[in-house]
Amino acid sequence: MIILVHVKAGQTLEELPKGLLNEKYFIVLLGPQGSFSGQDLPSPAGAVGGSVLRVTQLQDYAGAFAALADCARLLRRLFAQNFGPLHYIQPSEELMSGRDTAAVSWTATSDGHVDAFCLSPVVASSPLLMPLTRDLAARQMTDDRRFAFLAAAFAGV
Amino acid sequence: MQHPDDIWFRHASRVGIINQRPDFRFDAAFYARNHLDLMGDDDEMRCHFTDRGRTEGRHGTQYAQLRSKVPHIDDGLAALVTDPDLCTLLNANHPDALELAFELIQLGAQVDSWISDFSMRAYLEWHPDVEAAGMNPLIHYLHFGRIEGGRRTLADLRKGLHLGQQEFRPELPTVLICVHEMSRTGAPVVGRDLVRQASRTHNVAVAALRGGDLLEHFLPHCCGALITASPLREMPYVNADAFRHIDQAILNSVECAPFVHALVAQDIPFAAYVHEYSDYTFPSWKSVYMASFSDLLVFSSEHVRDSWRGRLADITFDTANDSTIIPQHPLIHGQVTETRRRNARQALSRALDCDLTGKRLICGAGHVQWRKGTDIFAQAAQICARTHPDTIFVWIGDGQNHQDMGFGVWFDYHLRQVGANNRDGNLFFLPAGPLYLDVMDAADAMFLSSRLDPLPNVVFDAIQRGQHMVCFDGATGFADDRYRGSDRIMRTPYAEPAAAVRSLLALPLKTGIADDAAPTTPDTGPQLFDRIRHALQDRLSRQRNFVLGESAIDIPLLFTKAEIDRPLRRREREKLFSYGRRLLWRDVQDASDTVAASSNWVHRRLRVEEYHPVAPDDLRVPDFAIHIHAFYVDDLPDDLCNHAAFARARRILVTTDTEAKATIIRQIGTDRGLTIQTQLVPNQGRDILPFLRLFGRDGLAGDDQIWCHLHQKKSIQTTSHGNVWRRFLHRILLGNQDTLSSAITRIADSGVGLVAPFEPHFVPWADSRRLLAGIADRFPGPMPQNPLMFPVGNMFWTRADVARQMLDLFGEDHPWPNEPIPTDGTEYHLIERLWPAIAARMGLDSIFLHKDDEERV
Repeated sequence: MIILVHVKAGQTLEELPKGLLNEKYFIVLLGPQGSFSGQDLPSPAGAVGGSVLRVTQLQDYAGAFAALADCARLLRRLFAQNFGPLHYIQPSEELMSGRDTAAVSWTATSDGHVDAFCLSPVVASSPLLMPLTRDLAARQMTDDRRFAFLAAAFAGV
Repeated sequence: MQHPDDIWFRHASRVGIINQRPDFRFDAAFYARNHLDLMGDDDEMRCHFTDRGRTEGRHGTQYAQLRSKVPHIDDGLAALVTDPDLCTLLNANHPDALELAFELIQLGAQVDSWISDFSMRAYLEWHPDVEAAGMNPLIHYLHFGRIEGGRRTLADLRKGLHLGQQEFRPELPTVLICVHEMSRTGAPVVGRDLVRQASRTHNVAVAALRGGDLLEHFLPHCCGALITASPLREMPYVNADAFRHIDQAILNSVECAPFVHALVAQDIPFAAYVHEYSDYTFPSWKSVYMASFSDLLVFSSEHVRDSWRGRLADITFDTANDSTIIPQHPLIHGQVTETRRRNARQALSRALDCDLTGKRLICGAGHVQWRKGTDIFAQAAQICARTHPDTIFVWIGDGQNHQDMGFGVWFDYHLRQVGANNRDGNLFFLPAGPLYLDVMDAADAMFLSSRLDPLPNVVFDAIQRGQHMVCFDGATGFADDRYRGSDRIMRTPYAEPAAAVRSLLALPLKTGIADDAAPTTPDTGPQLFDRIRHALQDRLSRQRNFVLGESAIDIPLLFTKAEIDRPLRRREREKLFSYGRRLLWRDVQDASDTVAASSNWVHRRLRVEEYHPVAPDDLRVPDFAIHIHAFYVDDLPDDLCNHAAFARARRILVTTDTEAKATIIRQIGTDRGLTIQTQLVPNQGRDILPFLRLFGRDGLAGDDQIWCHLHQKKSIQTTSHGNVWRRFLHRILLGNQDTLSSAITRIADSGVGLVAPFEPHFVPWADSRRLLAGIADRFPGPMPQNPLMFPVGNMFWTRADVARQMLDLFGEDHPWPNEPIPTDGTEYHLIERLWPAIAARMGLDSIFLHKDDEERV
C-alpha cells in the first residue's frame, strides 16, 4: 500500500498519523518546504531508501487531484513496482475504507474539493494513470469532476 | 493515381479542418486576411472568389499568391515532398500538385511532416531569427532559406537517421544509448558493445553527435541510429518508434553532455558512463551538467571517479549514493597457444623486417600522443637499447604526424634521433590495423606508458592473451585496489621509465600453451549493459526525496529564459533539487538556511540581507573611495553618470595600462565634474592585482579606510548576459542616479569587512579548489567544502585593512602569473573566493545584499 499524506501550507507534520507506521506501507509526505521537518518522522530528509518519501512543493496548492497528477509523474516507478492500493489523506484524517472494490473512490465537499481518495492496485500501477491525470489536471473543473472522469476512464478495470 | 481532392480530404479530415476548408484551392481565412475590403463569412468569401475575385486577379491561397511573385519556389517545394501519392501527382505534372503540397504543409504539425521533409514548427525552433521576424517558415524556406544554405530542415534530420536492422517491438522496454561519435576509438567501441548487449532484451535507439565508420557496426543491433549535433532541438522531431518510447538512456562518455538537455526535457532517466578524467574534460560545463542531471554516474574506475571528486563536491553531489564503479570489461587472465604465439611473432617479424626469435617483446598501444606517454615508451626503449638490446619495443596505433605542432613534430624528431623503425634497433611503430592481434599474441608484456588513462581496452586484450602489464601508479584505473590482486599487473613510480624498465625486465617471458589446451572464455557474470541498467534501476527505485514546482530563482541553466521554456526549467530544477545538487539557490531563504546550518568558521560570518536605498545626504554615509580598474574605457562615461555614488565619493582612483587611456579617463571625469586620479599599471592580475597593490609598498590607498572595487573588464561581458550582470553588480553596490546603496552604510558598520551582491548561482571553488592546500595553514580553520557566498564577479565594498591582509596572504613579492591566464584556477580566481575567509579571519562579517527587482541574467 502507498499512502499520500498531504500537508497543507501553514501545517507542520511532527509525526506520522497513528496506524501508518507499518513496514509494508510506503508513506509519501507531500507538502510545502518545511512542513514535514518534524524530528519524530522516520528516516531523515535526504536519505536514500526506506519507506518514507518526501515530496516538497515549492508552490503551495491545495488540490488533491494536482497532488495525484504530480505524484503519478514523479513516483511512477514506485507505483508500478508496488502493486497495492493508493490512498490519499490529510494528516488529521484516516484512510478511506469500505469501498475497496471501486477502481477509484473519493470523498468530496459540496464545493467540489476532494479531501480523500483511494485508487485500486490496478489503477495505481496503470501506465495510463500518468497521462490521464496530467490531462485532467490541466482542465478547468473541480477535483470532484476530475475524479469522476478518472473513475469513468477506469470503470470496469 | 489518387485525385488531389482525395489526398486533401484524407489529411484535412485527420486534423479536423475539412469542414472549414473543403477545397485546398481556396483558403477563406487567407482570402479575408488579404482582402480587408471584403466582409462576410467563409461561404461569402468563396462566392466572391469564384464569381469575381479570380477574374480580378485575386489569389485564393497563399501558394497562389507566393507563386505569382516568386516562381522559383516550385523546385524547392517539389524537393520537399515525400508522400508517395503526392510524388505520383508531381511526377505526372498534375497542375494542382504543388498547390496541394504547399497547402498541406501549411496545415502544420503533423500533416507537414507526414507528407514532406518540412516541419513548420521545427523550422521556427531551429531558426529563431525566422520566428523573431514573424515570418511564415515555409515561405521563408522556399523564398530565402533554400538559397541561403545552412538552414536545416526535416530533410537534414532524416538524412541523419539511419534505419537499424532490429524491428521495434512494443512489448520490450526501449533504451537510448548515446555516443559522442562513431569513430573506432575507446568510448565508441564500448558504446557498440553496449548496443550489442542491450539488443538482446531491449529496443535500442542509438544517438551520436558525429558519425563515423563504426556506424555500420551499430546498425545490425539497433532499431535506428540518429546523428545530430543538436539533440535538444532535433530529437523531438524524430518520427521513429524507438525514439518516441524511450524508457531510459545511457550516455557513454562525458562527451555526450549535449544529450543531457534533451533527456531532461523529455523526463527520461539516464546513467552516464564516464571514462574520462576531469583533468582533461573541458569546457567544464560538460562534467558539471553531466553530474548535475544524471540519475546515476557510472565510472569505469575508482581512479577516474577520484579525479572528479572536486567537481562533484562543487555541486554537492552525493557520491556514495549517486555513483558507482563498473569496469567496461572483466579482467581475464588468459593465455595463447604456442602455435599462435609463434605465428604471431613470424607475422610481426615480416612486418618489421626484424627477426623476433628469442627476443623479449614489449608492446604499447593507442593513439600516439602525450597522454598515452608514447614518448615515455620511446625513452624506455632507449634505456634498454644500451643494456638489453634483445628487448624489442613495438607500439601499435595511429596518430603519428610529423606536421602536428602539438606533439608530432617533436616526437618525429625524437624518433629519428634514436633510430626508431630501424631493423637493427629496438623501437618500432605500427599503424592500427590487422596486426593488432598479432602484437597482442606475440608480446611478452605491455608497457602502459600513459600519463593518464582510465581503463584502456588494450590492457584487457593483453592480459587475456597471456601478457603481463606494467603501468605507473596514479596514472590509470588499473592501479586501483580492484586489480591489486592480479599477478599480471605491475605498478611502478609515476612517469619513471627506468623503474618501468626494471619491472619489465624482471617479468617472465610468455610461453604458449598446447594447442589442445586452447583457452575458453570463462563466465564473468552479467555483461556491462545489464550491470549499468540494474544499477540505474536500483538507484531510481531508492530515491525518496522529490521537489515539485518552480524555484523562485529562475535563471536559465540547460534551457533558455524564454517563456516557452518555463516548463523545461521547472523540470530541470525539480531534478536538480530532488537529488540535492546545486547549481543555483532555490531562493534567498534557501541560501540563508544553508549558511545558518553550516558550522564552518567562514560560513558563520556570512550574512544575507535585503538591499535598501540610502539618500546621498544620509548622515550614516561614511567617507569612501572608489577604485575602478579600466582596461577598457567604453562604459566608463555611462557608469559615472548612472550612479550618484561617484559624486559622493571622497576619491575616485582609476587604474589602467596606458597613458592614452589615462588621459581619456581623466577627461571623462572632468566632463562630468569629477576629479579622477589615474595610475598606470601593467596588464597583470586582471582587475584585482591593481587593487591589492594600492595597499602595498608605495601604494596609493593612503588613509582611506572604506573602498569600493569595480572594474571594466570585458570578461564579465563576454556573454550576451554580460551587460545585465554588470548592471546588476553596479546597481547593488552603488545604487542609482538618485540614491546610494545600503552597501555603503553597512560597510561602515563595525564588525563588517565585506559587502557584495547576493549571487543567485551556487558558485563553487571550481578549479580554485586545486590551490586550497597551498593556503590552508594560513587560516584558523579548515576551508569549507564550498564557499557558498563570495563576491562573484569580483566587485565589492571592503576595508583597507582587509585588502592589506589579502595582499599579505600571498605577499607583495609573490610571482603573480602573467597574461594570458586560464579562465579559472589561478591565484586571481582564488582571491575572488577568499574575501569572506579573510574577513572572517579578522572577526568581520561578510554581507551579501539581495535586490529582488534587479535582473541577474
